[in-house]
Amino acid sequence: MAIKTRRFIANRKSCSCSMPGVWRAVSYCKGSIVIFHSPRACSHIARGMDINMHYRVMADESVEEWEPAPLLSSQLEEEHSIFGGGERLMQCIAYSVREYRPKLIVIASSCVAGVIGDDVVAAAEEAEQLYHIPVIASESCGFLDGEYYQGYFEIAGKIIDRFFKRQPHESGTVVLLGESGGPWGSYAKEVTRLLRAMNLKVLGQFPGYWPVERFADVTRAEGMVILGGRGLMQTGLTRMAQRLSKSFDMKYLPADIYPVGLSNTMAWLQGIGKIMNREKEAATVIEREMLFLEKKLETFRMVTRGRKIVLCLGRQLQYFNPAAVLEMIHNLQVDLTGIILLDAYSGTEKENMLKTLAQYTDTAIFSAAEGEMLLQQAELILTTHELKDRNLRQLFVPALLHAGIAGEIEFMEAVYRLLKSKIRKGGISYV
Amino acid sequence: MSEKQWGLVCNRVDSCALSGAAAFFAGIPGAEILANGPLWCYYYALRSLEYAQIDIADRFHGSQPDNHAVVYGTEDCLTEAIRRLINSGHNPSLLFVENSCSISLIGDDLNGILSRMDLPFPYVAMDCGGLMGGFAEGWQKAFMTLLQNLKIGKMEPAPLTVNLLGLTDFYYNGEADRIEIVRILKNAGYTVNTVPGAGSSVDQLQQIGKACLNIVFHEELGLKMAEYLQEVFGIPFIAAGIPYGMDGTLKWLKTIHQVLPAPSLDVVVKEISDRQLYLTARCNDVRALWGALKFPQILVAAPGTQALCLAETLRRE
Repeated sequence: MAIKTRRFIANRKSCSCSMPGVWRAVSYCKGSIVIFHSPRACSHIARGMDINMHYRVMADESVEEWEPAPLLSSQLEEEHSIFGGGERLMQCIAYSVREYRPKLIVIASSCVAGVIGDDVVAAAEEAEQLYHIPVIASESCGFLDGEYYQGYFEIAGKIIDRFFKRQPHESGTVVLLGESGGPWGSYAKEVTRLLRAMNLKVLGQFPGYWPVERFADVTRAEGMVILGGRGLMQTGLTRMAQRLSKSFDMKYLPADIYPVGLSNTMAWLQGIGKIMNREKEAATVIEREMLFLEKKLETFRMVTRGRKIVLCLGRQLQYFNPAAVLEMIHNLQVDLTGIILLDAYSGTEKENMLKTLAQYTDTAIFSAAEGEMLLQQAELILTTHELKDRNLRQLFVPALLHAGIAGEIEFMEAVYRLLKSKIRKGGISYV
Repeated sequence: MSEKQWGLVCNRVDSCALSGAAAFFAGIPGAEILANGPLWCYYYALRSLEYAQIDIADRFHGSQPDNHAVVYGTEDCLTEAIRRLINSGHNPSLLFVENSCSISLIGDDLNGILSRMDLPFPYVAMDCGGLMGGFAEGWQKAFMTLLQNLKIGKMEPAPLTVNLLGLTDFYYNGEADRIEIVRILKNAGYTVNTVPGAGSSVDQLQQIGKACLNIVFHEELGLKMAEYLQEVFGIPFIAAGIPYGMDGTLKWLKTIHQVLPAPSLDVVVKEISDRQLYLTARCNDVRALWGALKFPQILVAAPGTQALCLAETLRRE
């Protein structure tokens, strides 16, 4: 019997929507407001994302230091599909100006507005002339001509165009570029910890977490640290860094290296040390981090050594590189009895994943149809997708593992705890 | 439109009509749902329903049309998704196909596409999504569309038989509330004919006209249905709220009793009275430890009828 995931995995174009990306690009920028030119319920998605992030931050025993930007909706209804929603949008903008006195208005356009044909960019220009406030509109309409990251990078690009200026840099300072759970999330916190250990000061995180009135200060930083990601996030952040480097002479690590997994974290520390003239400090940090990790591994291996583990992969290579997970599996000295490729890959994608896996491991690879028995014999399954069989003990492998040595240890500790636990029931755990 | 409506939308929790319509059909045993809309919208609706039914993904599917489909139509994606369901052994008692808001606008003839497929199971199709409104609007339209598809004739009402309108397992504590309400009504001597969108099968819904009274619970879900059934089948209805608390439950049952006398009302009255004594003793214990159970302000966040009835119970009990 083939292995089933809890939810159907499809792989098509247009998997997400540009509007939450637009919102995310300014979600914690004090002074901004976001308007979704959409049916009301579309904004409920951004609300869900906001609440999830809030709980995630709470779970990390951290605190969101700023309030999210107000999110309004033009609340399109059926009648607007006939008569257009432009007037409605202008009314909503007028209200937002009166009520919130924003320093920046950002408008996201829905697929509905796109099909109706509302000219949101023209409405933004008109509003800017009327209220003398910067009004930026995304040209992407929901899922029609872009996804989450198109919305995110389009707005970030427009902010750079309008607010950034060339200025002298403050030595030893960096700005974090990207999202990865925001400045209160574990990823940015770990990156900040490593940078501080190299005597580098983090000025803030862009886009999304910078007050509107201080947008121009981003270019005060001497360097940029790309927070990373895969696929469109990675491409977009690299392009943004290239642009900031060219226009404002800010340094960045051009290689595609992020502090995820042991080898990458070490290479990343060396790279950052080199571009920011902190090579000695980087070497010291590496030595200290390695020592810390080795100590932890000694404890973990007492439980993990020789234990039977299976890795299930269903995520496309463009969103997920299995190298870091395989490295952790290797370091824990578990017995990786097999890798199962779930039914989520097209022919070429499967070929690419197989090629990548071959670079890092000689473990036998099975299809979903072949792998059932293997799962039943495994003590723990590391999986990119929740498997339907709830008797199986699973640990979710995220698209982007947590950063740095702390992230590495956090994931390995989860494996260690699950293998050490005397509770034998199934279900999935998340790190 | 009032000015307040424009305000911070995150203060108001409401999923879209796509979720509401899917929730109605998810309440029909064996029915499956196919959302013909972007993956993002499908997942959003799926996740909101998963809170109440953890395995709903087995019955709630997405056709995932891409951006080209808005120009060329969604027929290919839709037929591919349905073929995939059939080939993987799905045989629903009823398939509900719903268009998301932007797909509704491009003019695909859902019923035409489905009829050409010669499906081995019955189906219902409709345009849906956020343009129509929130959860309640989708739920109501789903029910209306199903009723119109079933083409039910007028029938002779059976004595003491009631339909329960506007109950859904997808509201907070929905399933437990429904089970308790059905239990109380049965103990009072009523026969529950149907609970549309919350457990009644298509065959049972064919008999909806047999009830001599429709009882409306969540008005935003059930009131329009009740008005429609009164108009078409001549079934009277009563909107008596939701029975919360001991006094609240008694008041609710007595309101129904006035319209349709319950033969075993005394059974429920005795149960409530016994329970009240037990609760008073428990509350006294708690007061002895904590002092008066008084809260200067309580914020109730819930759909309309539920919020009103909870607030009333908090005030009185």
